[in-house]
Amino acid sequence: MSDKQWRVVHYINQFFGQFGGEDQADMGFVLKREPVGPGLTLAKELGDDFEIVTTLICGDNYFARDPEERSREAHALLKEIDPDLLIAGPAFAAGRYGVACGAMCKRAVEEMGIPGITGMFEENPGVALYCEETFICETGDSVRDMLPSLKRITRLAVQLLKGGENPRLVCRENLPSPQEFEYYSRGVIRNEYTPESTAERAVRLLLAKIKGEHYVSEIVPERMESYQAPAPIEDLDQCVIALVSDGGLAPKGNPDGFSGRGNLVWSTYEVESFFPEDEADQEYEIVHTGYFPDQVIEDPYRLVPIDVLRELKAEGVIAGIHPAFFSTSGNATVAKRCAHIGEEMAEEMRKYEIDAVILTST
Amino acid sequence: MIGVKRVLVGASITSPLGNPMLPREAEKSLRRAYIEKALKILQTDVSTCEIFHL
Repeated sequence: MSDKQWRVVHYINQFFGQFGGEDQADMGFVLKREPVGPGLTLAKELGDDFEIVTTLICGDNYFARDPEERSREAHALLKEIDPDLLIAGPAFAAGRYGVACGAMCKRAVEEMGIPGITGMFEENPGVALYCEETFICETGDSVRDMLPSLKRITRLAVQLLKGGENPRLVCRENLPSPQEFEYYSRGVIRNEYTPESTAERAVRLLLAKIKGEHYVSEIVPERMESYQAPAPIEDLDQCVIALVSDGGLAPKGNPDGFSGRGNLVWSTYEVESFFPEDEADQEYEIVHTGYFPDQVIEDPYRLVPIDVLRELKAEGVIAGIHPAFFSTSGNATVAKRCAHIGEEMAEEMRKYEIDAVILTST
Repeated sequence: MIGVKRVLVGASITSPLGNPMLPREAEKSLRRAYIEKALKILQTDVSTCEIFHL
């Protein structure tokens, strides 16, 4: 019977679990009821309030083959243990091990509602994959950094389990600062109290930036990938033009389920039936809460210039209009999803002879 | 990838290729002017993002 306050499960691989090296990388899960290998040092660092009640050992290959499934398997093994904290690794630069540690921590957070802490070198693929899901402490690239890494993990563990409210944060959440506790940012933004007013702080940072002095910004805008502009079209009279719009134009009833805000889907509508040449009563809907829709509803050509394109085709200025109109709603949709929608549309377009696209946006 | 290289500024937010103040035929002519400009831009070499106006 343990009188320790916090029960810890420690996940390590076949090497640190003292089964062997690559030759044992295919081994499955083994449970031991005490600290093993680096777990002994970790137990010492954690001190009297913590107890490593279980060490879970697994081969790197066995886990890496299907991390989601393996972490589910591990969770089933750990359920009856009911720990307060999961510590994995540290994995340093070992990729398969890092992914396993990240997956284990993520499972602990999601299924067991307990904190997960691991440690990795910044280039470990596990960092990019899991840094938003769990706490990954910074480590060096090899086992030489074991003791400092275990100290970092311990410091964070103590803070998370014993720390209480964080008075620096407006919401008081027990969320330690990544800089102070040396873990990779989880991409979490919280409002903080500061000694300076926001205005003073903003001006100070701006002056530093202008003078070329050092300054730290909490929000670093993503650098956009540069790419080459598509070459201009030649022989316009041989070109087929496709029309796209993010103005949220849909058939009445919105059969494809566009959202007026934060929309994630797109669809194509057959030009002949959606924009009948005789302008027979077609019923439209604008699924887009970002602009006043009445003018486009009254005359959809104001958004999708089919009438003009038909004229140009009849005159031989262009060779043709692609028979499908690509429609979506672009209002406060995350940029990454917008880019994916564009890629999905382009993938569809590549199946046909389309030479250029005119995309209208509101 | 995020970005665009060829941009033509439309007439307005609520009516990018039209103008409800105009009679219908005039509005269509305006729309045609925009599209002809768009086709010209598609035949123009650009390297950075260029913003064109009618």
